[in-house]
Amino acid sequence: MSEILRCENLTKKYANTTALNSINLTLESGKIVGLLGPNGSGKTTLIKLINGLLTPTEGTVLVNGNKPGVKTKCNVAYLPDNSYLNSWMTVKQIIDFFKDFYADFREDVAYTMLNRLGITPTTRLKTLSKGNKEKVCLILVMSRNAKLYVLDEPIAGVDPAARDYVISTIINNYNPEATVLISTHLISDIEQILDEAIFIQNGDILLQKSIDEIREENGKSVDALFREVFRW
Amino acid sequence: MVKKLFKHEMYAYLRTILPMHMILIGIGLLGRFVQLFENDSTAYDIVFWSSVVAFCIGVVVCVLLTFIFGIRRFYTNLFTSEGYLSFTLPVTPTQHIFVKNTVAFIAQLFSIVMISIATCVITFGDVCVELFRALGYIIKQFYIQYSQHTTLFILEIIVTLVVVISTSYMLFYACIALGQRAKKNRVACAVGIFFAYYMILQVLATIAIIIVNTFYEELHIEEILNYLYYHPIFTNHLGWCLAIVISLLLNLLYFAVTKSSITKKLNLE
Repeated sequence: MSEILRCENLTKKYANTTALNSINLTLESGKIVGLLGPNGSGKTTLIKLINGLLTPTEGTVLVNGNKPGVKTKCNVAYLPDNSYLNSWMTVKQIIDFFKDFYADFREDVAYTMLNRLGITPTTRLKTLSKGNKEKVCLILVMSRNAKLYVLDEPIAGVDPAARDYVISTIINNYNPEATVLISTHLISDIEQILDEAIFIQNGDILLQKSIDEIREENGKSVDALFREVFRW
Repeated sequence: MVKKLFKHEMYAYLRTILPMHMILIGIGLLGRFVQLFENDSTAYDIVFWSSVVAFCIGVVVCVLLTFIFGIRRFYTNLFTSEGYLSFTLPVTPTQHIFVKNTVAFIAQLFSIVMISIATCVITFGDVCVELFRALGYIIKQFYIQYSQHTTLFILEIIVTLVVVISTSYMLFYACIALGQRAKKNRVACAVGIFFAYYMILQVLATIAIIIVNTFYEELHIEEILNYLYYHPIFTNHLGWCLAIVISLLLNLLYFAVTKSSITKKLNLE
């Protein structure tokens, strides 16, 4: 398996706060990886650094051997934890936008998923409910044939039925040769789809192991281990 | 990618500024329609002057809003939640800045053309003919005074306008980008940087005047002024060319500041 992501001594500081503390991390292709940690542990900071939305204080991030830039952005499909679409656009306009900029965007896949949700192309994004807006964002991201999918809290704040929809959308649409990095603290919902888990706390990587290893070595589920490690 | 950015940026502008300018043309049409009922009554005067005032307000609103929209678009599209999409597109910061600046400039030109059309509409008839006659007269006077230099002057004026409009936007972009380096109250910081920069410029200008006054003789200011006074064509060319060069240099400086902030210090919240 080839390496898709490498972080070396990656540090991010905000004034007096250290969000990431010299972390070293490597991800291989073809895996679904859970980036697991409580709120404020540094998950979103790491994801933003991978996407070039933040600049590291120290260290480097390499995506497929390149620093975040035009090349990496062609390979990374990113779902932020907030709605980032222009609300004045229609669904068709935002699909055309993605089609224009991302060579790997699969328009037919996007329309099939939207059709299943009952969202018509002429619908304006501002008229969609918060839940449907999030689903449209997910559909746009998962319609790409990317090498690395980075999903920041895709199931936070959605009802259990919607969580199932999100998880099935990820499973059914990602490129099997790609890596999916999912950040969340709702582990029980996604544990069954993960190949690997990364525990992060206060900007430090506490653990990076395969799900099978975690279960064998600790005799418990990832969710149970998470609750034990991050107990208040 | 630049072409695609242009396409989407132009659409984002047009959906806002086109209706605004169409309304202005509508006001112009209404004003012209009112003039068809011209008479000596007070009622007509009230309606006529109201339409003229509405048109003037419309012109000011169109000019201001088009300019403000150019600045706002840069901020919202890059530094609010929309930035998550903009900065994850396979596009360089240079391309983002270039397209934003160029489309903002095109929008200003579009605004000028639409306002001119609206003016022609409301003055349609004798007044409009007089306006064009006055414009022709001014150009003719230029040719009489400066003969073959007139074409070059017109060219210099057009280039100056292009560069100055682009530089004005770039200054705001630089302030906004610098403001993003602050930990909080980033918009307020951008405004603060803008006013601080202008104050520094004023201080520098004052210092320059003091130096010129102090070393009036050593710098041969009197002779230079005399030379410029007796060579008006040269002075005009020099003035416009200096305006272009200084504005271009400032444009490059603001661009470098904006690009550096986006490339090295981007911190989307």
